[in-house]
Amino acid sequence: MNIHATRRRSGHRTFMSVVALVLLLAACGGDDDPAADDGTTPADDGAADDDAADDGATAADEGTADDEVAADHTFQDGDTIVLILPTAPGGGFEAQTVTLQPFFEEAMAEVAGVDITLRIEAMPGAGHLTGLQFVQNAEPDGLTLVYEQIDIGVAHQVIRGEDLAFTDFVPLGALGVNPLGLAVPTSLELPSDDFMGLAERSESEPVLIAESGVLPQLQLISGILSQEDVTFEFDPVTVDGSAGLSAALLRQEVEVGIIPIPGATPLIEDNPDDLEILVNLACERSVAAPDVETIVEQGVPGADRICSAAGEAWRMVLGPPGLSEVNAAVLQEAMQVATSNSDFQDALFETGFEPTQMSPDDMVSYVQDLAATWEELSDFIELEDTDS
Amino acid sequence: MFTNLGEGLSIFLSWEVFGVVLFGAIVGFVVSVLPGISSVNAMALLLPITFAMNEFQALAFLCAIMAAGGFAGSVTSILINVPGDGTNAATTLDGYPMSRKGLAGQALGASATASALGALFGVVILVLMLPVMRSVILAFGPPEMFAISFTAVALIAAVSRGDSVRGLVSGLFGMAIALMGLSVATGVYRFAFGFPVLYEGVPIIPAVIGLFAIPELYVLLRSDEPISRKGQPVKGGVREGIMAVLHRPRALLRGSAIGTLIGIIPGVGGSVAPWVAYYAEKGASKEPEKFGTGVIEGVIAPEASNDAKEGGSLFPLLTLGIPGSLSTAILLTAFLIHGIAPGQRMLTQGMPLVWVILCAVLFTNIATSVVGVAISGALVRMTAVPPTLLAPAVLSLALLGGYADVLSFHGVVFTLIFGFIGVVMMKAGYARPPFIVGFIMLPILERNFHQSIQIYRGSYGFLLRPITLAVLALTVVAVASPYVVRATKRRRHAAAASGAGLRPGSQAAQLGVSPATRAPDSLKGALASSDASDDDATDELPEGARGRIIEIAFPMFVLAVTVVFFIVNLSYGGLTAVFPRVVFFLLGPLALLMVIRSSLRWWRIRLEPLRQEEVVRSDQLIAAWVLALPLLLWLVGFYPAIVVYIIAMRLGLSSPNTRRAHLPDALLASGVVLATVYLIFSQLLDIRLPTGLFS
Repeated sequence: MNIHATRRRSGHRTFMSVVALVLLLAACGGDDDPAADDGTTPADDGAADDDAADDGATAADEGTADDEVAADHTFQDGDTIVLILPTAPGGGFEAQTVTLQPFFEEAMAEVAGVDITLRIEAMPGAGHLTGLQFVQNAEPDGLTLVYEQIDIGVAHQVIRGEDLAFTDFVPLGALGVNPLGLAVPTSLELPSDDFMGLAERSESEPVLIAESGVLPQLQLISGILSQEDVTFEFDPVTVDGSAGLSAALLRQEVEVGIIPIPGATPLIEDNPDDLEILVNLACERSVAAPDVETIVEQGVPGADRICSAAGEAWRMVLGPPGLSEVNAAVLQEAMQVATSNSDFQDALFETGFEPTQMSPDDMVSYVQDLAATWEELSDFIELEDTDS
Repeated sequence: MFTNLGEGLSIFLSWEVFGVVLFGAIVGFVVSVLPGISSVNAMALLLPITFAMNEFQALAFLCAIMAAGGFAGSVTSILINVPGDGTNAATTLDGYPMSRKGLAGQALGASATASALGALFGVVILVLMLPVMRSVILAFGPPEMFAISFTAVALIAAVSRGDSVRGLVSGLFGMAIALMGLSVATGVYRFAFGFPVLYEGVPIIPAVIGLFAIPELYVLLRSDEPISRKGQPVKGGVREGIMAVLHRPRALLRGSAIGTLIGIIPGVGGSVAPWVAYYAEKGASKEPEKFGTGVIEGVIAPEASNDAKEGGSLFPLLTLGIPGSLSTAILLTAFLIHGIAPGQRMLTQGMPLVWVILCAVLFTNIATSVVGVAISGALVRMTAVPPTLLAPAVLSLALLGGYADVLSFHGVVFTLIFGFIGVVMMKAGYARPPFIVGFIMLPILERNFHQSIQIYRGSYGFLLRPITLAVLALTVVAVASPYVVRATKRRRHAAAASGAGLRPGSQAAQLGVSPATRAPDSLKGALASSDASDDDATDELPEGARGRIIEIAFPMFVLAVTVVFFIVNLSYGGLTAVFPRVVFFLLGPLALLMVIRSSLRWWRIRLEPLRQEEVVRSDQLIAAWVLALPLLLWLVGFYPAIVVYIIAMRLGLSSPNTRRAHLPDALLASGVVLATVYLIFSQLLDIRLPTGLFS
């Protein structure tokens, strides 16, 4: 499938003319939506957006508040919106945002009536901090955005105490989620084939778990479980990225690996006699591995907190702190339109990432809740202080 | 395995695929020739354009870029002592001295041939062993990789010639610098001193460029001699280079085998292979003392290994879906984007794609080598370019390479800092290759050590794994046996001398008991070299007044760094502090020893007349010119800066009566650099260059 087909600009103009006419007619017909009156953005209307996402319709098609938003924004034809990747080029972050690019550009034309260019620019360094700080200090005009995995940004702010107000960034749209899971060799013997079996086994000897990079997730899980009087002891083995994780699992050097389910599913399917996924740590089942039960379904105490605090890696497009509500609303709407496109979702899934959506309110709540949970559980996170 | 060969070949030869392979080969070649921008950078930056291709085109395109870098990166290593890619750094050791002797054509011919044949070796081994390689790869876990890395370091140290203390100080200093940044085991940002730019450590490309390029430019500007000392490079010699490879099959095979083996092991890193191959070749040579002075084996081995490793690194990717290097990690992304999961299933179901990949790698390697041979006559002329023209052009590209590697002005700063360190090391008589080897090897050693310890829950039981134990035992035997043999012989001859009435230990008693005579073949050279006067652990010892001061000042600086790092390290706990402690305990005393030795040497020769240095320009003048470029970059941005800089240096360092005559070539050079930068960096790779303070 070629997701980067040439944009049909002439088709766009026709479509936009139709949309504009419809919106004009709708405006003339009056607006019964109180949200528009009280100044709330269409993004606040999460339910309507979700519905729109479900049936593939655009918010602009049905929204009556959108036209006000579109009228007040400061985006202009020919603008370049720079989307900063805080990672080196060539990886999943780039693959996902390059996939987004044409859909977002089309959506901005659709939602705001402007012909913009989305420029994706890698700004690696300092474990994502360089790119995040750059956007934090950027002009809050909506022309400089960042694509980030939420737990990484939260970790910089909450755990490492860096000069970063990540929770003040404005979430504009979620591309998708990486549900995490625990993969085990099929030969591993447990009292029961679920998470509680693993926890029970850890009472006799800490479980040897491979993690790619130093992650606080395992410590958070252990911390939450301890508050529920469940023992989960582990010894971490820090490996190099997903490649090191795969190798450690295949060599059976570790008992468990904490894996991103969509990315690791091919490995599991390629080695069905050697590996299996014991549990999905996320709140909902993974599209990539729909047969694997979630930690909630397995009835693990504290699972609701575990899944949201440590079981999912959400990636979102965010604007800098102080981004105007009007421009934020336009960008949120455009993201909603772009990410609800089924072609985009198919393409994103091929990059090893699960497309799901979240309303702007939910995104804000998610970021704030994650930061609050990690703050609360910071005693369990034993990352040493960065030197100064 | 061979069932889909015909189908794969027909796909490869279709114009849609062959066309993108040609394009990828050209891109990879051009990009890799430029200092600093590696083929991996180009793959990463061009990955997005493969999204619109089908899977055959995308993978073939990326593989072509990857394969083109092998030989292309050696061009500037040989001609101007600036590695086109980090993996070509070892080629500078003998390639550049050959250029200085007017043998650049021969070196390029040898490099091209060794690259092509090394790649062929790697691909053939890949094809033959693909079905059985899975179990081999899985047999090498972190303990085995630690043992192999340790062996590489030990053997490199063992065959380094000359003043071993200087070599050790240089290597350990490289390790100490490599400690900066994230601790892979604990997630602590070590030795960052509050600078976020150091959180991910010192980037390797700016370090390599700085260490090799800037000191060389310093030498050229100082002496005002072109690279080819006679002023006119010896034309031809390419055929001799090709024949030299064919007449040295052992060097070729050794390099190729080492490259393939290291490539197979995921995580060891491609930068290591050429260094191991170089030092292995040196260890096996009957004339190791000539290495570093411009011997052709010193070009053949690293270049063969560099290209053979690409075939090797495809093993873990194709058989297990595990990328063994940065370039194969990018290939994995391309696989996934096209909905293909490399691994056993792909090997059974998608063999045409595997054949297309192999054809792309092999074709590109051979094609770039053929093209390289064809144009080497023109390339060689670069060695006759006057320093006042070459230096600003190369410095511009070097700083741009540093920038492009980290996509930040910090890359420029890193390049300059390491350039300064390189100049100081050179003036103090410390060789730079051990520094780079230590810098590259430390993270590999540390990472695998930590993982091994973690897997064995804190015990050292991993050392008893069969392969680990065998590798370490062989290492001990290989390193220790020459010393044992030498000691035994000394005792025997001392006894004989005693019987003959000679004083034990006297020179006569030791006459004819060269330790190399009965040492194992692999280390004969190393032992013979220990008697050699010139060495590669040491640059020429300084004799000028300033040189004598720097000779003392440099180890003092290293000692100071060690002390500071040691104190900071006390604040870390657990695995974070283990490796640094080992490095500092070794480096501190050795640096102190060198301070004492250098001071004693200074005291001993203080009354001797200073050697008159033949210099055209002072250090201060050169430093001012070098620093002017980053300042200009910062102020006015890249494009105006390089134009102004190249013209200004060419004219500013010319005598007043030749300035007018030099203006055309200055304009031409600035135009060529400008066009290259614009087309390659801005247009092709879409890198946003610094636009200056006032933009």
